[in-house]
Amino acid sequence: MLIDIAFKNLWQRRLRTILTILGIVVAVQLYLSIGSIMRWYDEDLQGRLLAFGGKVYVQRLVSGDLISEDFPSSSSSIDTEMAQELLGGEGVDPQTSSLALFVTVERSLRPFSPPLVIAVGIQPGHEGAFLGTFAVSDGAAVLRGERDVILGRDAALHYGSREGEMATVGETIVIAGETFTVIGLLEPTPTLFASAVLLPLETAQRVFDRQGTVSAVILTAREVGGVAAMRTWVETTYPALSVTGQEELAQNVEEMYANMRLFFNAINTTIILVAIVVIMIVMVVAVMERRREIGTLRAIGARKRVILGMIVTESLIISLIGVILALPASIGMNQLAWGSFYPSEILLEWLRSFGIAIAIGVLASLLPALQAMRVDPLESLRYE
Amino acid sequence: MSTIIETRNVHRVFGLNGMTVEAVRGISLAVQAGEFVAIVGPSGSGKSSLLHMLGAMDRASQGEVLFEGQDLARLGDGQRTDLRASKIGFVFQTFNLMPTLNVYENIEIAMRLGGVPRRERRQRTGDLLAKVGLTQRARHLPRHLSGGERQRVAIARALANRPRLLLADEPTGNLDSRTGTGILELLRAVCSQDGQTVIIVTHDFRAASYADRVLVLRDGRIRGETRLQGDLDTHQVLGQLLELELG
Repeated sequence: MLIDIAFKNLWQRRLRTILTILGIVVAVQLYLSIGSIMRWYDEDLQGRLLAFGGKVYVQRLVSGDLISEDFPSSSSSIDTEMAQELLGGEGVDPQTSSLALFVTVERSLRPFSPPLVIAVGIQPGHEGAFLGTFAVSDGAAVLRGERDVILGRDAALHYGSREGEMATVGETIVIAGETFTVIGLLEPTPTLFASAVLLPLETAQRVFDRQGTVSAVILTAREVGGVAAMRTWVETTYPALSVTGQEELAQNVEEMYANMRLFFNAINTTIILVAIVVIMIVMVVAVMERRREIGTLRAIGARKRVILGMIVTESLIISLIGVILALPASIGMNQLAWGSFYPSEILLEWLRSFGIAIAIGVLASLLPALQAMRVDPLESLRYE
Repeated sequence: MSTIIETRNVHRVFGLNGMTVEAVRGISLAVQAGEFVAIVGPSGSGKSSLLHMLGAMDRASQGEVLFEGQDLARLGDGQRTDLRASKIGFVFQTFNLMPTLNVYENIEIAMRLGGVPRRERRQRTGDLLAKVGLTQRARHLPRHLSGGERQRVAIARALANRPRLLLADEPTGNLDSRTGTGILELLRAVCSQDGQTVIIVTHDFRAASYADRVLVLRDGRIRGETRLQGDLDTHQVLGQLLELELG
């Protein structure tokens, strides 16, 4: 193998080589970033699904709403009277169920992201109906006062007095022009819960001008295994309402995730194709420029497979250096874009991308290598 | 002496813009081991086409080219490549050194392609550098060498695998006459001292005068042949060649 010659050939055309490697760094970095976005969504959605175990959300969806796009729906509206009837329904445990009002307070600027802050009006003492298995890690878990709030981690960061600092228990914050006292902070949770500001239902209805209505009724079955009977009762009694359980949510989430995965995979495939084309163009030009040199190598005894190896090696060097440099670039970009990064996951993804880099290098070199192999030894005799 | 390479009624026809051009028209010749043969002739006489066939770089359209009795037409691409790597050395008019490799590496690469072990490569490269007088220039890149030095490197590379046959296509074509003389003396020494078979193609009678035997080609055919005696002076040799050319 002529690995040293491959290196020297690349070094001789170093500006072109550096620019090509830069292109690969950008492509692999994008690939890694998209991978981490997909992973983040996956973990988040799985966490949300766990929290909805054993519950059903009863909502009145506005025509055109899709559960998968906006759950829980902030446009859903049920009369409080009807909602109270639901709490007293067959098989429903009123102690662990609650009426709920969801209002988006701050939208996210990131694409495909849930709101930054969502106000969750909940009946005091029934916080667990919304929080499920997630607990308060600091302060009180029950909304006793009219102006008490419990914050998820992202909401606490949003209302922190300084950039990057979370609001603390006892601090006062302003929501929709009114002052509230933080009485509790949630443990780290998936986004929906992390961005939540739990406040008493009546306060939420007043502050957001939704008196007499709620967004959803969160029902918990009185008995284990009673969820099916409970939802049958709701569906029969209130056919106009929509009932969403863990299964539907899982299905809808999976559909949404499948679409998103398709979208991101299409981007990733495009990135890989662009990387292949970039290297291929560079290598084709390099072979065209070096036909005489390749002809000379053939004339002095280089077999076709040696030429093939040389071209593939050059292509692999470009793609592998690109992947190596993509790791720090990717960590830096993640830090910039998300304010945090997942070093271990990125490292794992990065190791995986070595395989992709090898595939890119080999595929990109096929055409130029074929061209190079076809160079006749007589090409060496062509004069400048 | 044994015949190292032989052609029997060799023809080479090229297709060019729908027309056929017969560059070589039925040449038969035999070169003995240890001989220094010059093939002279004007441009288009077919001498380079003949050399390419002798060097297993091109195939005859008709007839046979036998290297050590083996018909080159019967060899596949890989076998012909191996033959070029191990038994045939080639010196180009334009030197054809690898621009990214230094002098040492340019000589060594032929041995790498020929599968020579690293230690032996180092030994042989050192010997060849000394032989062509470039030991001090071993780490220089070709672009830092003069034309004569480049051609010396090319000759060292051609000799690296100790080939049975050394072919040179206009080896002095790109050199001034003084530098050219040095190269021809080196080729002569390779033949006389090492017993190497050398065939050069040239249109320069002065270059041909270093050979043991001169073949004159015109219009793809051998028009004449003469054996030069070692005791002739330059004027006598040139006269003999001119007579052959006008012949």
